[in-house]
Amino acid sequence: MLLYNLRLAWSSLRRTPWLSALTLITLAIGVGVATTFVSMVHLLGRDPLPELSDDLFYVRLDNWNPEEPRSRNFPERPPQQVTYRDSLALLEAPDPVLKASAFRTQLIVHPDDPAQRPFPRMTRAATRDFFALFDVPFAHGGTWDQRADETGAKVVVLDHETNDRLFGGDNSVGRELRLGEHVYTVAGVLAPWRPVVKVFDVTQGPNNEPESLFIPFRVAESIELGVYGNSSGWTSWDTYEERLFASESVFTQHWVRLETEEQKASYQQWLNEYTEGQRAGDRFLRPTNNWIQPMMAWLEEMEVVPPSSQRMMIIALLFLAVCAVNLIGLLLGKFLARAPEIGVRRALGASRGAIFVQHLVECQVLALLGSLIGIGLASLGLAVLTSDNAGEQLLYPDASTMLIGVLLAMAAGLVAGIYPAWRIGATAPAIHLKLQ
Amino acid sequence: MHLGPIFRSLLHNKTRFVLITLEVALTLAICVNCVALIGDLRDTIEAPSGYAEEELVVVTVRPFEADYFNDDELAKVTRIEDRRVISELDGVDGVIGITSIPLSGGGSSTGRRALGAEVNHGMPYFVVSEDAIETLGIELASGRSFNDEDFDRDWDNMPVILSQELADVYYPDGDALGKMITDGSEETQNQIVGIASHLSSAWPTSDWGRFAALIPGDPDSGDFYRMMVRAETDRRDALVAGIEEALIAHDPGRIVEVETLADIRDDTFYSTMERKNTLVGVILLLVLVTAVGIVGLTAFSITQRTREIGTRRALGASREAVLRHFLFENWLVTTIGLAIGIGLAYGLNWALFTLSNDAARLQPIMLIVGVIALWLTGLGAALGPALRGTRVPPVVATRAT
Repeated sequence: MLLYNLRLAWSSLRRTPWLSALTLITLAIGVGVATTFVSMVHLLGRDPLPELSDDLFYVRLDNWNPEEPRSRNFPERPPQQVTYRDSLALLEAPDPVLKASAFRTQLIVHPDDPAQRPFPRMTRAATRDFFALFDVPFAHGGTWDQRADETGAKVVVLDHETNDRLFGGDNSVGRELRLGEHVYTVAGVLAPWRPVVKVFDVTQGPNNEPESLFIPFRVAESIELGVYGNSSGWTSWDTYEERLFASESVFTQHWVRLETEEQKASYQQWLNEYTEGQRAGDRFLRPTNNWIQPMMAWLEEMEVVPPSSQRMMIIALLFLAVCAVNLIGLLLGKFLARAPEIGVRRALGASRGAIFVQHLVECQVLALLGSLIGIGLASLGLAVLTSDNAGEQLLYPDASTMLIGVLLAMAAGLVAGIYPAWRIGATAPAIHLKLQ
Repeated sequence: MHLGPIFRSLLHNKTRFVLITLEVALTLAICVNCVALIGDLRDTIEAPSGYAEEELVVVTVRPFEADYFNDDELAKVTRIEDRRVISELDGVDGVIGITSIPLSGGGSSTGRRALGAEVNHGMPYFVVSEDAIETLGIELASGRSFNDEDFDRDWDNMPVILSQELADVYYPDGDALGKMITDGSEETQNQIVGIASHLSSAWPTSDWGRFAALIPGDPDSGDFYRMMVRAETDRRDALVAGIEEALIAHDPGRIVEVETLADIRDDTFYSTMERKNTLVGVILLLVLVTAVGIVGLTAFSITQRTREIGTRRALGASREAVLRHFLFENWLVTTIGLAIGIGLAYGLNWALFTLSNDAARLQPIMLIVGVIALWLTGLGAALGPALRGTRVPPVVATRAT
């Protein structure tokens, strides 16, 4: 029966090629526009680390000015990052299974080849478990050892591109590299890695590229590493050392992995005891407000899906609705034009239901054809809209895009098709037979 | 004009009537909201920044020799020396040091309040060397540029030049000139010595785009330092390469990056521009789809009513009368749709605003323009099929039955 209906649908589409084409184009445009923005919101907002996110938490401490909260609009929110000294203290916490502190800086790379000029590279100063916490893929070597963390040793992990540029893509583990004034030993080389969401530091734009070099966090204690990430504070400082150890300048991120509720509860208690202990030193004078924020909640707070994209999604869905209304008219015209033929079929015994189903199937065939074109348009839309001005594309259509496209098309086809199919099904056979 | 037949035939064709109404209503609601969003984005893009955007070149110098970092005096001399080297190049009209780049998306901000006020308001700022006002092309609405004495003051008491908008935040009565702002502490007091007609911050697309302050000083950002060069228009692009060459030739121990302010601005506005273009595209597509829909529905209804038309023609109705009938009918349906659409437009606007409160509010003028545009679209779309309807010969009425 389905096959029969499909055959009827196909021959009907071919009989009115212009009307069918117009219907198809209307549907394809609607589906294309809607799929572009629904997928964009979906691709931006989905869990970037589905395997890890349940156990990943972002730590926030309220070290702000007792006179005023960090954010006037959201006074309950602690600052978005923690100070260097608090980050060091958090690294001593017993509960987390894994933990890491990090901040963004920049180093100047001096290639061995004297013909090449030195060049700057964005660098992340981080503790060794950073890579494990965020599942950063290595091509060669791995993270540095515990001792390097403790002493702020001069070791470095290179991203794939920098390793290509400096070492021609060889396994450079153990080789030496001058960064700024100092020589570092390569501990690891990353595999190509470009996460859509820069989960570990979304404070400067959630879709920025990760840094190219990674060095131990405590290198900052022997070399003045400039802070190139988000930074804010409510006390002033004169020297770099003061900034690290005696200011309320927040510029580091601290992440933990907590696997059980007990760990969470115990860690929360540890945090509160820590900040309450700091009160003796005239710090943390605001009411205790320490957050262990789930990864997805933090990303949402930072508007990883920008409101402008959500707005566009609503507009695009309404656009599809207009196309569907349009389709109702087109389908009505198309179906009723062959009322006489349907009259004959009805007279020969086809039931109302059979006619109704036949036409709905035709609508769904149209919808599927429309979704193919629509998904193509959406892929194009995503490519254009998520490419930066250098032409690098951020979001790629995937299976979810296709599913969204097909579902939207079928929903539109169904909504648009029900009334016309019912109308043609309700045609009284006699009227049309009489005309013949 | 006979209204009776028009209403009766409308009621007879309820489906078509409902469909066109719905389509027009939705189209108006969506288009008007898109226009409101576009208007907002355009305001952001076209707002005057206050800088001579097309004539400025930005230079970032990253020294990598230890001497620079270990000897503050040498570092200061190096920075001044670099400005001299650049100023001697052909086509340079001025060069200043500055801590961060206006319109670039990256900069510094601190908090200040009027004397006696309770809370601070953010003050994005740039620390600039001598002659900044002239070199950047900033127009002062009142007050003065920085003078030599200003540069000798200590940091807590540096005078400031504010954008008009920021001055109005601190002193809403418009009497900010000469007054003090403070961070709430005893020590810090900055006198407002000048007010710029326009002065954009480093974040022109944000809520703080129009709030900025200039502070006199020796701009040094630690790892690097920056300069802005005013270039003669036709020499600007040549200077981009020329400046890097000259500075490296003068002292190879650093990395020099040179860009035009126009390029930096375009980068910052890239996604804003793209959002605007997307919305324009959506409006065009939507109007197209709606027009095609009206053409289709009108054509269909006229085909369906061929006999009816023939009868009317046979009974003496002129072609003009038939045309008038269809166009008026169409106009009536469109108008009802537009009336509903105005309600829907406000509903959608409310929904978008609830989603994020930076959504643009509708203005009546947008609705008026939208209504007129859709009236015309509706009439234009109905004209073709209606004209075809008038060509139905009276004889058709006698033939079919």
